[in-house]
Amino acid sequence: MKPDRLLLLVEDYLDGTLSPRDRETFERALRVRPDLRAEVEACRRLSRLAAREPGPAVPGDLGEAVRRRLPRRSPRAARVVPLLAAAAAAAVLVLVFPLSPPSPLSSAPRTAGPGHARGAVSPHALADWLAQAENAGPRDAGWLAAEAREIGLLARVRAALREASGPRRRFLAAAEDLLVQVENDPGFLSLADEARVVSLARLP
Amino acid sequence: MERCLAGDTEAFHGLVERYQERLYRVAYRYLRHREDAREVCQETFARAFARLSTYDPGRPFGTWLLAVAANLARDLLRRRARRGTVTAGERLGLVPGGERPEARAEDREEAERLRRAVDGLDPEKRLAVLLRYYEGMSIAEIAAVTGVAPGTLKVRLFRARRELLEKLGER
Repeated sequence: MKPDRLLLLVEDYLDGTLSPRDRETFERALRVRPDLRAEVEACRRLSRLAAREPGPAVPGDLGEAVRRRLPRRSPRAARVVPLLAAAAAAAVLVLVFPLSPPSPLSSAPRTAGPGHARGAVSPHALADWLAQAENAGPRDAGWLAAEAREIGLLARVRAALREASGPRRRFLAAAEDLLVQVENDPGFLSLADEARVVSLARLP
Repeated sequence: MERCLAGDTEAFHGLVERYQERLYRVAYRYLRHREDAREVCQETFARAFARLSTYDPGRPFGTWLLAVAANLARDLLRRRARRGTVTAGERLGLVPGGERPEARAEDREEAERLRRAVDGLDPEKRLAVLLRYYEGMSIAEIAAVTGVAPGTLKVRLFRARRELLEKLGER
C-alpha cells in the first residue's frame, strides 16, 4: 500500500524544504492527524537513537594505506608524460623521414582482434565497446585496446568531448580516461569494474 | 579542492584525511565487515583520484565520494551474496568496533536494538536509513548519492520506518 501524500512529505517537512503553502497545509494537518504526528515523531526518534550508536573506530592506518595505493604522480601528469614522449617520438620521425612517401601498408586493412568482425563503425561505437569492456577478463584489455585504436575511438570521444557539456561531458571524460588507461596498460586488470563505473556515468 | 583538481596529490591526501572517517563509518555500517569497509574506502579514494577530471565542482565533494563508495559497497554486497560468504558475527554486529566509553549502558542497548533492526533491512532500505538517520543527510543529498529519485526514496524510508518500528516493538 502506498502511503498518502502528506505522510510522504514528512521528510521534506523535517528538511525544511516544503514550500510555504505546503508547510502551512502540513502543519494544519499535524494538528488534527495523530498518525502524521506519530510519523514525524518516529523520524525524530530514529535520528536520536541512531546518534547514540557509537561509530566504528576508523583503522589508524587507513590514510596511509590510501596514500600507498595512489600513484605518486597525478593522473594528469601520468597522462601528459607519455603524450609528451609520443609527441617527441613523432617529431623525431618527422625530422628523420621528412619526405618519405606514404607506405603502401598504411592504407592496408588492419587485422582484427580475436573473434571480432570488423565492419562500418557503429554510431554506438562507444556503448558497444563499453559493453564488451564490462565483461572483460584478465587478458582482454589488449585486444580491446586494439579494437579501440582500429575504430579511432579515443579520437572520436575527444572530438565529441569538445562539444559536450553537463553529464554527457562527464561521461565522455570518464570514457576518455578509461581509453587512455587501456591504451597504456595492456594488462589492465580492473577494466571490467572501471568500464561499469564509466557506463554508470552515462545514466542521467 | 582547486589544488586537487589541478593534480596536486598532497592536496588530495588532505581530502582523504577529511573524509575517511565518514566514508568508513557508512561503509562499515552498511557492510558490517571491517576489512570490506576498509577495502571500499581505499578503492573509493583511488577511483576518485583517477577520476577527478569527471568531478563536477558544483557538487559537494563528500556527496560525490559517497556515491562512488555506495556503488562499490553495493557491488561488494552482491558479490558476497552470490558467493554466500556473509560473515555472521560481523553481520549481526558482534564486532562492535570502537565505542565511546561515556555512552550509557541503556543508550547502548537501545541503539543496539535499532542497529540489529537496520541490519535486517534489505540493502536498498538499509542504505537509505543509514544516510538519513545515521548521517543526517537530506533527501536531496541521498538522492545524489544513491541515484534514486526523491519520491522513491521517501516511500523507501516510509516502509523502512514501518519495519524498524515493528522490530523495535513500537507499532
